[in-house]
Amino acid sequence: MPKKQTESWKRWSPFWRVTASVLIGLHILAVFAAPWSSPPPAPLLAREVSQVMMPYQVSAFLNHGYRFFAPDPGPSHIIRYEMTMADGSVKHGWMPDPQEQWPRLLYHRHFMMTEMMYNNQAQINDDPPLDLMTEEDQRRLAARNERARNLVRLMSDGIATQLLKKHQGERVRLFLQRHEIPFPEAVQDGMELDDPSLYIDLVDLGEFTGDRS
Amino acid sequence: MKLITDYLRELGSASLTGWNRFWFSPSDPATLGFIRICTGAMLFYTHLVWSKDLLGFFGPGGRLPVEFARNLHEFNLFADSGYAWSHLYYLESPQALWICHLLALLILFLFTIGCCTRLTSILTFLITVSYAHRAVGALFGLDQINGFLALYLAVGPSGAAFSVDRWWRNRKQGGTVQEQPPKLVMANVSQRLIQVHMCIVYFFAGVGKLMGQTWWAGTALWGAFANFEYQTLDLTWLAWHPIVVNFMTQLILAWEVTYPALIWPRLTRPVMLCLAIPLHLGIAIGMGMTTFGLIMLVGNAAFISPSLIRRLFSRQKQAENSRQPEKRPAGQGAENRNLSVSSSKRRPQTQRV
Repeated sequence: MPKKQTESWKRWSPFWRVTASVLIGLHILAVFAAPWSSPPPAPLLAREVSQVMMPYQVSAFLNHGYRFFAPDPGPSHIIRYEMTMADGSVKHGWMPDPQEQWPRLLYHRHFMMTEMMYNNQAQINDDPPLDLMTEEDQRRLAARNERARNLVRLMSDGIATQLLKKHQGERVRLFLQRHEIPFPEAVQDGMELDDPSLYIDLVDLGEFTGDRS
Repeated sequence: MKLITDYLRELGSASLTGWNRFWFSPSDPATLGFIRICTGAMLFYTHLVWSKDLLGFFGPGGRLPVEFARNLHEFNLFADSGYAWSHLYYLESPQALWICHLLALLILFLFTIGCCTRLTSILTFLITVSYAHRAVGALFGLDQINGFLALYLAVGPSGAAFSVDRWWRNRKQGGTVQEQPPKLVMANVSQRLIQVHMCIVYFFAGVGKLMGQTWWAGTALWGAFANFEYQTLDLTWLAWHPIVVNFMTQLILAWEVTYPALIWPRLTRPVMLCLAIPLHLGIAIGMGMTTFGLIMLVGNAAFISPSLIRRLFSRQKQAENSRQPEKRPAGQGAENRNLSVSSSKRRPQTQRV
């Protein structure tokens, strides 16, 4: 009886065990390779493995880095907006806004969008050391910058359209902001987490009228 | 030389047996059933929340235009975005979007209760991935964990326990007692895959933090607590207690880095699981990420043995039975139970005769 129990894994034939083992091995390699190849920095080996596994990783939504709050918890990135209403008045607001987005998960979706906006904006490298780059590299960088700009434009457009629709505004100007985290000493001295000095405008994303023209 | 070859032979043989035992021992699907209920409920809620502004996100003129989603996938992958498939790319009219969304919610609900689970589990995985690909730009850790749990629940027999399917099967067989399903190899494979995946998640979460100065300095948690956009619980009083922040930061770092090793031994596993509760509930309550904190705990549930899950459920059942004595007299109930068990045991013999 004890022997039967310890060998219960023999229920599957060797053929199925080998087949399943190969599939499991490949799957785990794909799962591992995704964060292993996530920058910064990533070894060449990891990048090569991940490149081969990419179709499977992406199709099954397994291409993640899992680096939660790493390497360091940083400041937040949010969007400040100035909306001109039909009567000429100007309305100010922020995205995300816990008063407007409820439940919390919906608020978090908006927050992740503004973080994504910052990530795309940060990819735009307008000041590369051109004299150190080959022509091919310069072309590649220019194409990359253009694509990042296009992403920022598309996202800004979508956000602006929805803001105008919701608040019945005429036009809206968006600003990407960084919200710095105060040092503990500053909090001890009485600084609040939403102190105005902690908000820094990074980029003027432009003015939108919602017609997507 | 012989010593080395003997060692290598023993190493190979032991590894092979260990691998087979680890993956292919049949297991009670109770843990998988429990994870299905929790994950299904989370998936249902996650997708239900999109309903609050479905067109605002995915509709024409939404915050996440289709062109943006496709371009972002291409930009991140440096490749064709065709792998990041989604049925939502092709739904442009509000009516079509709503019909498909309501259908998706129905499937997620059926999956949660374990109805037609073989089919609904696969559809649930496809729905989860499809929404995640479409909503790229608004995703976070919750979606990543949701995605792989849905995958493994579709791979394994997640409807074999604690499900409508199980209840229906028992009913068809004429039993009134919730009989335990047989042990299944795929239940074990599925549970093991969740366990291994959780280890990979924590390993990279841990080593990623090792690259950060504030995690080494023990001040990282201040950066999380004092982040206004995350904050749902005022923890700024910790500014006066840096040693507490230090201790918590170092504890979390140590826990995450050692998780892939210490979660396996029988003696350290309960400690690691117990530490997971305050950590993830802290994220849930203090940082407003209830969904993420809870789904991480659901992933950790893969390390709870099926027998313990059964004991917890049967205790609850016993407590419910003892609270309702007037509905079914104890003696009669026991008699009925005995009858049903014995009848189901006797039936095959009768048939053989």
